[in-house]
Amino acid sequence: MYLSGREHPIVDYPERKQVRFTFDGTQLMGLEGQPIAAALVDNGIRAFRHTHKTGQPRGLFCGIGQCSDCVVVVNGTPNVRSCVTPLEEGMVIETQHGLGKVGVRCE
Amino acid sequence: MSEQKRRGAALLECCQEIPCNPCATVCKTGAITKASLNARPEFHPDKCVGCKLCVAACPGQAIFLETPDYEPGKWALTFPYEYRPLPEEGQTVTAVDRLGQPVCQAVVAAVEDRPVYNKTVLVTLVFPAEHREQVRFMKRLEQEGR
Amino acid sequence: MRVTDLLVVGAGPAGLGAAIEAARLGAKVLLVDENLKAGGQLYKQIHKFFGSGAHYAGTRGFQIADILLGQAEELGVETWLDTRALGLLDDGTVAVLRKGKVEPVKAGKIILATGAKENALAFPGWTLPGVMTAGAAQTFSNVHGTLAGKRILMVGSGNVGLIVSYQLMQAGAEICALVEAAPQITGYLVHAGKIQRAGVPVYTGHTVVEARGTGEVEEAVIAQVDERFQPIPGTERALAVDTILLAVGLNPRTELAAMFRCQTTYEGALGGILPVHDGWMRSTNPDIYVCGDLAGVEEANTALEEGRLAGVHAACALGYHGEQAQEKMNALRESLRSLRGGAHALRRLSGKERVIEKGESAYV
Repeated sequence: MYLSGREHPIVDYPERKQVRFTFDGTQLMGLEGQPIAAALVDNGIRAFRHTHKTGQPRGLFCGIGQCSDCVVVVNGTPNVRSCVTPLEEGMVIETQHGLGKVGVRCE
Repeated sequence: MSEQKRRGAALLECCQEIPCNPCATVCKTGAITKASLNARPEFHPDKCVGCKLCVAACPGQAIFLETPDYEPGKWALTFPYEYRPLPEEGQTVTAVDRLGQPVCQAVVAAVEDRPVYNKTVLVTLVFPAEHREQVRFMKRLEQEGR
Repeated sequence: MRVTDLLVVGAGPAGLGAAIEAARLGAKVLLVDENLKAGGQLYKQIHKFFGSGAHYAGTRGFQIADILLGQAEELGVETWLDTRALGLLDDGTVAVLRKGKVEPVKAGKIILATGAKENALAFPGWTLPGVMTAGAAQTFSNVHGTLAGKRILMVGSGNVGLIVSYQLMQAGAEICALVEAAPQITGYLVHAGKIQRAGVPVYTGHTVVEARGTGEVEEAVIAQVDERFQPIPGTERALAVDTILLAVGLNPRTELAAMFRCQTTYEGALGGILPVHDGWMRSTNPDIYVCGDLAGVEEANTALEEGRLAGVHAACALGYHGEQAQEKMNALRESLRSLRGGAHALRRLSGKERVIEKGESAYV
């Protein structure tokens, strides 16, 4: 749950606009500009990808774009670091299985 | 009771050498001094006017304001409180010790939130004087919906 | 190709300090940072800082970031965000990736302030979603407004573990316990006092031995450790938590420095492998400076002072001699000495002295 609107003794969280996105086909609500990982956690989702060899779940780990444990597929592009990529209206986000397909669209 | 006594005096529980000096720089009366940045603070009780600036300024939250004989048989303690919700004046809360263990019931005498405190709220509890060595904080209040 | 006097990589406290001081002396400064916002990790520091007035003591970390960013802007420091320094090209230019394009930057001097990364700790179940670094939960709560966990086990009683525990409680999480393998609390006792009086049990001589759960963390197992930090069989205890946070130290991000062929050394008390540097923060390559956590993991205030020192020295080396530059550098060195002067900083101080001794010998 986004802490905005709840009282925090120190931080004034900014008001953010609600946006729609999908995760593995499920329609979800998030906040524009928050990291994708935060939107997923706010929706109760903690496993973002499954590993290449053994299919184990992985989620948020370093939170600042260094470790790559939290990568997801965004609009068809794999290996997007969900902890540092801002959420946008209409994003199609998917669990990443394995390493991501090589040679797919890259912006 | 003298005004000095009624306003209380700082109580420093800064136990380690830490490179830090906001307590000494914020004190306008010279009641808290530091021989060097890393020295532990020295307290000069005769100079303390009980202004509480050091209580809010200490990054370690290691300074309290103690008011002996706030009321007959009662002691008052002011400490930093950076949680929500805030207690209200007149509310009865549970006073706790340094390890968060309940000590006694206490009445909230003041809740002060001044810009100069930079988002640190100062809460003052009044409780039986016999607990003055133990009481250092209050049991945090539950936030609704958590 | 972009030509500039000084290129600063990393816009945390060290990089900002360097950019500000060099610009103050008249150098043309380009500051690059891979993040969408400058300030490094200062924005997640919502507590009041230690130090003296000169280090903004008593001011909260995010407020210090605002002050520094304002100064940098006022001084005309050009800042490229969402920009990654990829490495050194053969012609001595630095390749930076900006807006999807590689752009070469030619700079007279380069200051690396790439910071540090958090250490991990391996134990059965540590890869489960819900096990993460303390800094991750801190960033998500304080910067993004999202609680990464509700019932938390904190591992490590250094200042990071203590402060992050406190901050997550401020945001509404519960810290079910804090474990520390050492026989005593390793961070400042005043920080520990804040969470202890709020009721957090601190177990010294304990560690986490397992994370359990189906698909994500549902339980943590802690155990007492012996004098060799090995778990003692039979002392295991399960805690119902959804999150395990690792606050077990940081290590310098040396990749760029290594690519730039700066000589490195090992200092455990400073986080591990780090570039050798002299008392002016020069690496063994006279055109490259290192500062902040990259030059040894310490505090934000030491990072800021090291950055300032590197900035002044680099500007002077580029020919921008301010009137009081030398006095300023001496004052910054004195300030660093005093920040490392306490009993708590002894091991860091002696480590730093060894690093500097090696660095000085490179310039004899």
